[in-house]
Amino acid sequence: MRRWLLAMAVIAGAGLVVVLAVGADPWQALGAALASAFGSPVAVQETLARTTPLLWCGLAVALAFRAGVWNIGAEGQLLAGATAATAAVLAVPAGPWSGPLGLLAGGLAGAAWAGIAAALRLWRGVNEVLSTILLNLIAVAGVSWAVHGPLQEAARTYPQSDAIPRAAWLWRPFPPGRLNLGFLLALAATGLLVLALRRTGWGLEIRAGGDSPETARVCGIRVERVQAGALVLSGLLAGLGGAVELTGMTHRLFERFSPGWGYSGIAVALLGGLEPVATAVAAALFGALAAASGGLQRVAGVPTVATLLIQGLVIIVLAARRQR
Amino acid sequence: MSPAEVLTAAAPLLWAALAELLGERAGVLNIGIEGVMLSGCLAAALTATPLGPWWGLAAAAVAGCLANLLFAMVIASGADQVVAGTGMVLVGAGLTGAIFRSLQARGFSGALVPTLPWGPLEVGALVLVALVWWFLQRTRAGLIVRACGENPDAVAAAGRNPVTVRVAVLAVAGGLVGVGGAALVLRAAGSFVEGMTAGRGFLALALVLLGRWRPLPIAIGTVLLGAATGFQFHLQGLGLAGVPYQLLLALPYVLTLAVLALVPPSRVGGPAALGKAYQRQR
Repeated sequence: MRRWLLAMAVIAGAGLVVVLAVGADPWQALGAALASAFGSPVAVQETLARTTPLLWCGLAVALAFRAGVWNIGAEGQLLAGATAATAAVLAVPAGPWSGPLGLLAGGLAGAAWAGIAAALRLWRGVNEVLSTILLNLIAVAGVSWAVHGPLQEAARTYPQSDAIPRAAWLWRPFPPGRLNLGFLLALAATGLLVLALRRTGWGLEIRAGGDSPETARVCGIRVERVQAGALVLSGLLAGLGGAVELTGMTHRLFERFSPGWGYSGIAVALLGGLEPVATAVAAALFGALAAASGGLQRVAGVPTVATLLIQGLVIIVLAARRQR
Repeated sequence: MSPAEVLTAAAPLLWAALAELLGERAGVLNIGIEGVMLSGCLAAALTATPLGPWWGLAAAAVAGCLANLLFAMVIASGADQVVAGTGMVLVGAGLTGAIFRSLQARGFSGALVPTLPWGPLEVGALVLVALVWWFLQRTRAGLIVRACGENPDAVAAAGRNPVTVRVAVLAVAGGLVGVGGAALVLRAAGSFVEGMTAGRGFLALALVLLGRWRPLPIAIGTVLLGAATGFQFHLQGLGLAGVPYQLLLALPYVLTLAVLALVPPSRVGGPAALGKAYQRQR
């Protein structure tokens, strides 16, 4: 509980400082923020739609951190997933299979991207913090290349892909709101992860490897392998997040596709105490913040990039508290 | 590319890598220098535009020092260094981005920052290589810093507080990272762009690892990497390379990852207490 109060205090405090710094009226800004996050049914849908990629990345980070693997690479894995989903959906004639195909391609690509780091860790002893960060930077350049090159729209005007066919779009239950099937899939993944961690032998191995690698090793768990597997699965979740964002929200790939969801996922997972259900609640909080930042930009002139600052401060404050 | 140009391209990375080395020898893994460097870049650009490049350099050092002190205080509380460092990356990107965008709305473009002449920052980086080696290997203070990285309990037993030593080292290192940011703005680029460090802080981290925590190998690796990337852009300028520009941007990272994968895992590791939070024994 103290964790949540602390995070809320950081969000409110840093938000106030930013609003005052750009010279806006705090009450007007607060009104705009609340209106764009909760003010109408469409606004609530927007909050949940923004929650979706944060939840996928939060689950990815929570799983890896629980296993004792520092996956800082959810960002790159998400981008790999979105890129592969775009390529797969556009390569095959449209049909009812387009959506599932995109998600499958995205999940696999995310797993493969994390798999590079997992293989380097397992067989070459390369520190995963470094390799996943480098893979993020490579993925950003890769997306940029893809939308200037092989995946660029047929018109060749803008650095973006063609829109994917309607058949591949994820279902939106209440248009014009942007809430989509991807959110429900993320909730399902949350439930599955809870069951897997609590009720399976694999989950026990993951938790043991993260909490006490020495003990786990003595008990005959091959910790390094379990951790490499967790990293790949973590990449799968982040990759699915990218595919869901593409097929559910943007419907096309472009430069700066992600405003940093992979990094936000770290804040989300830490606030959730690395527990899947609490991570979902944390994702909703940051989803509301993301939806609010849109309104703050329009009404009060607060740059949306300030949300990165707030998330960073939340991570720092929670890191300082966690080990005490 | 002349050697002078190579050095200009490599200097920002060299300042950052040597700063990271100091911190790691004291036992602190600082992922956050990417964010610290960005704050140095913005401080340099903001101060140099009205007051001139030398004041920009000073401001960058102060900004880097303050940013790293924030990180130092957080880890002094026993926080996990990887997590806190990741937070610092976001804070640096978010803070500089927000400040820059609100100033942009008031007419500050970040372009045409007055620059320094060739020399002080390039030669300074080379001098720093020798200086860091001398400090770590030949001075008593350097010995204490290294001891904090190997066995902080022994430092505490000898009557010094490892936390204080680490905070002091990080303050100095932050100043050096800030100077690295200034080298980027006031020498290599001549302007400020959002997110302009583009992963240099992370490359510095990798270079320290590849240089096995010794100044000279780190410097050689840094200059080689600077030359390799500079050379690619040179080819691009001559229209010789068929490689798309966007993929060239990824070259330093691919190269670094490949070297990390190919170099056999050494038995000679880093400082024994690297990355471990220090908690005082009661």
